[in-house]
Amino acid sequence: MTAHAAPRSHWVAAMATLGFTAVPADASAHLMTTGLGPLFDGAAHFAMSPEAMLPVVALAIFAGLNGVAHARAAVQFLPATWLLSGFLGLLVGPLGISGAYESVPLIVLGSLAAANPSVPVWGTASLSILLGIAGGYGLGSEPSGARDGTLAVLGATLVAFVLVALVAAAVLKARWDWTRITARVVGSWTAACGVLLLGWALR
Amino acid sequence: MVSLVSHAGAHEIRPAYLQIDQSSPGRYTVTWRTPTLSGMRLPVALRFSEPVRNVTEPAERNLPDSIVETRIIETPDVGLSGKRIEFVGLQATVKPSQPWIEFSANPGPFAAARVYFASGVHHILMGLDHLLFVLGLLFIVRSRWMLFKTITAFTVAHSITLAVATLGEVEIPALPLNAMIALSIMFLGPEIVRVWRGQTSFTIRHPWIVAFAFGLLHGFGFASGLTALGLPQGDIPFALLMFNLGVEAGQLAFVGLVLLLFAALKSIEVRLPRGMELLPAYLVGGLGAYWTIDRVVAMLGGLA
Repeated sequence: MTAHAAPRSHWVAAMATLGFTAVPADASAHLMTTGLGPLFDGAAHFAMSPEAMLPVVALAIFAGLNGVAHARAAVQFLPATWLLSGFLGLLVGPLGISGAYESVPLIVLGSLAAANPSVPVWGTASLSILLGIAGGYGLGSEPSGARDGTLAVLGATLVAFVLVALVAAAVLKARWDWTRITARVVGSWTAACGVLLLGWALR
Repeated sequence: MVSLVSHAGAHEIRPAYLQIDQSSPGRYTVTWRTPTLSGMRLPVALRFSEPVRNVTEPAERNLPDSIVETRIIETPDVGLSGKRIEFVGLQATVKPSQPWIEFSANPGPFAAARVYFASGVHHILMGLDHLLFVLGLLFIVRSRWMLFKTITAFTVAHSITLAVATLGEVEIPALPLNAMIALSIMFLGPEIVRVWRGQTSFTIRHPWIVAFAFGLLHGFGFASGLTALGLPQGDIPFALLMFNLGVEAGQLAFVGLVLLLFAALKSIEVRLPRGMELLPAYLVGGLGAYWTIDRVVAMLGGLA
């Protein structure tokens, strides 16, 4: 379609994506503009933030490996606390703490998914709540003032909910040893990513 | 255009964003957003090739994480076709293979197909009312075969009206159309309640007929998205096909994701708490009612 041939047309001409190195304390920002509105911007923000997404995957693997009750606890508590904490982050704004703390959920949940220890259901529920508070606040505090933060938080929460539900259910359905081992390997990689992030933040 | 710095070690991605909307022949609104880091803006500026000129000077708005620059430009000849926008300074910060974009005067069929396909996907994903109607249908259908029939009927119906409306055979004013689309969503709320109570109705027995009937309405809504985009003269059937395929792809992706989620929640044995089992019905019906009232008020306001 040419602009000449299509008067009154409405088209997005280009989206330029630029990457540049940043100091670790600021390394969590992912200014996302999908062109689809704040709901999808929030969802894309989550999807483009490995430090937010990988702990959710690790939690889902850990919960799925431990059984239905654990998976249910993760699916129920994580999105609820993520949403509430996201709104809190929206109101309060960034806390300005070191980026090194972002590596903690990756290391802890990745290690738990890899080691697959047996814990009570309330333990999984507590981990879900803690991750929801940390992850939701981190993402919720970033879009404040820039776009419609409420919808962005809702978009990120929806993706977190879908992700934890799908991964936990997939791991729960894993019948063969090798599929469970694969899931635990993903957990160990998540922990390794956390260690790398920690090293980067403390360098 | 994606350009990555060669020494990028952080995981950070801060995209700049350029949007150009054509407001009238030869005149465009340009929105250029650049990210800021520690109060410093990304040192990249726009430069338009001759004879593009500014109608209004760039107006800047500071946001906490970015600077948004808005201006109106115009071209005296054939619009932006064949023109180039350079990103001045981009070559100093990254290693781009092409620090500019060019608006092709004669885009190939693949480029045009991509534009219309992406617009179709964009339209369905932005159309929360269309998605909510499809979601309502998913709560009503009771078997895979019925699901197939219902989604197919909705697809066939909106494809028919999308085609006739785009070709100018039938025209429905936007305000009453939007009110009727909202009404179709509200209609599904009580039907979901009936399903949950184990009752039956014509809609529950034959959801595909209802999907077909209301799909005709939704197709007119899709047509508004396509006509707003603009149609290439002499290539309307092709644009129509690609736009429709984009709508179907977006719709199928949505249906697939919802079905996967339903299956996952079933295997995890997640159920809505006691007393909240009808939440989906209230969500669909309530939003449908809200939109219906809102759009009827807008329609009556337009008439007054």
